[in-house]
Amino acid sequence: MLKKLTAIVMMAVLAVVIMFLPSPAAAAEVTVAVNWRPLSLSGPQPYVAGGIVMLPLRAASEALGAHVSWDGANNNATLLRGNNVAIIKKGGSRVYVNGTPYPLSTASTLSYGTIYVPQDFIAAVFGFPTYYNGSVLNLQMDELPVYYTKGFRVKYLDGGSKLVTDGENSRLLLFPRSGAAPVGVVADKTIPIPLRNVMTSSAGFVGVMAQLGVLDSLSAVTISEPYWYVPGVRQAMQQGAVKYVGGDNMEAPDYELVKAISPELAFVYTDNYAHVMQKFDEMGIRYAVNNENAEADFLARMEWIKFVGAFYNKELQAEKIFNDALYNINRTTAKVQGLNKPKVAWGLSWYGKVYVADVNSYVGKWISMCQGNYVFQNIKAGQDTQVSMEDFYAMAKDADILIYSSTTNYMNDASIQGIIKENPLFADIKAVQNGQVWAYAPDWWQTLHETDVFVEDIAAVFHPEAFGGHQYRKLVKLP
Amino acid sequence: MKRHFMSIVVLITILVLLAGAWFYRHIHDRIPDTPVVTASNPETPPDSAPETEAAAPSEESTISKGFPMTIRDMMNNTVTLKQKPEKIAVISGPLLEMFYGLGGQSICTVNPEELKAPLADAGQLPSIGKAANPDIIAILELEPDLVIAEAGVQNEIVTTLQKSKLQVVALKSKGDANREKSLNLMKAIAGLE
Repeated sequence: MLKKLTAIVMMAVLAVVIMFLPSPAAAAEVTVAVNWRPLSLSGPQPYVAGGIVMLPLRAASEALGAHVSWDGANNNATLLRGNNVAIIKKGGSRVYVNGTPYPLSTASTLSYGTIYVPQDFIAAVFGFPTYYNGSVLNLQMDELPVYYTKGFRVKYLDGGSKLVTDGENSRLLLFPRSGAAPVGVVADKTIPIPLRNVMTSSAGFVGVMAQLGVLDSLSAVTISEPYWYVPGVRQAMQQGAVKYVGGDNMEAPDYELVKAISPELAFVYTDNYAHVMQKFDEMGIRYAVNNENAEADFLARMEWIKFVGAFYNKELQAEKIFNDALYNINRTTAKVQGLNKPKVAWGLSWYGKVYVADVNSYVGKWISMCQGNYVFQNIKAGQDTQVSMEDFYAMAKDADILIYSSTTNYMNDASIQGIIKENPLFADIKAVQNGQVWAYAPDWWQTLHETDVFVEDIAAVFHPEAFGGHQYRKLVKLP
Repeated sequence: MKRHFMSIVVLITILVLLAGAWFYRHIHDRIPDTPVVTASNPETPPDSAPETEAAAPSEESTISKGFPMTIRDMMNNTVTLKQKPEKIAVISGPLLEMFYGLGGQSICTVNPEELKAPLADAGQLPSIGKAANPDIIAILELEPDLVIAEAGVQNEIVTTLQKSKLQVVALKSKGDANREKSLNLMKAIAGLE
């Protein structure tokens, strides 16, 4: 009897072991690479079936920067990449990309709780040709995908090098620090990556660097310690790891200090920095021009986070941050579409002059996407436009909402009485009388990667009825 | 006694192992990746604009006569129909009822429990599931010339369908004024006047 039972136990144990063992196909190790650089996939790993590499849908798509959402009721996975949407059904043998069906070499399958797709899914959805050599599945990415900006480009070269075109059309040849720059490539500057010693005049880039986990490469900034809200920056400045080199009042940096720090790259803007760039040229300090502030679309502006990522080989992580934010933005703007549009004024008074945002700027896009009716639609002179107080009053007097375009920590008195003190004509504006005056939170300029939070706050200010219990993070209602 | 005890131990071991294995396979197979149910999960009321008269579009929905026809719908989208749509997919229960009341015919239906009464041809129509969370692939496979969706609760779905290059007109079924406007738009679009 005991022998018989022992045999049954042995068989049961064997059955359980077989159940948990990966299939023979799954046991074959496959490395996924982008341009022959390994791509780390979390969780379930790829396997080979019939000579085709099967990839875990979520892990592979997210590693390539897509936002993935799962509709369990209908068994559909949806991928968002910029303005592209791809949808596939569990078990489906075709993927719809922007509505067009692409047949796959084999149907998607469910294995150990994960949906797997064949390697040609990557070509259909991401546009990267694939090549499997028996151990490595290489995804060929010739150029970093960008969807909204025309301000920069990243092209990939052999051996981990890349050619970046910056905001001033300068060609920056980035090459792996461990190797040598490729010869025969026409470039204006040659820069080893990942960066280790960086100066930036872009506060927004510092927030992105923190998000990408590369803040330790930051050496110099043009904003002094009290004004920083990116976690870790103040502490790094107190410890001396990050130096303030001047610039709080838009003045040129202390060149001697910059020379002492000797950054291997400085991120600068064209605005107010033409003379600085000239001086940097003389000093032999390399710089890359970031003109995200000149973008006419807030999505194009946010896309510059991928420009930063390229200097750290983290552009696909930046792509993921971008697409995740885009997903949230799409949800927010869909939520308010079709609602009544409040009249919105957006500007500030500074030493007796009033400045408003151009309707064609990214601020204008924010207002229209969040279903606001901008009162300064006919003012299109430039990025930020100075108007007379009389014109401002004539157009803004009936505004339901006033967004005062200053961070609260730069205001002399961050209150409604404070802005009336700055300019008494504000007192007669409907939004001021009704207490609907908002200003920027102190971290406004330092969190470019949180554009989705900006959009949600703006939409919630315009349409509070659709955002019950909303916690504002980027806009502050003035008391 | 010892043999009896051993037998019981062995039997319990078998049962525990088999139960564990079944549980692992069964549960895991039901959870693809890390499931993220979208906001329009039918179990959760979707975040949406309030469905009231007050939430009516700020700009009047408009329509031009004849084809090509330009419509500003109730999401304030402007849609141009080059020709009269032959295959119209109505993806909301109340809008389906309104459309059929006018004599229109959809190429799909929704879950029967979302309709007050079965549609005349409901038996032959493919279902796109729950209106709050329709099967987007089922809609795409029908290759409609036009989708009629419910503004508000289906705004996110409209966005996805638009990205998938489908023409969508968003209408409203709640509130007398909205219903009247929607009926007029349906009549003009489908040539039911």
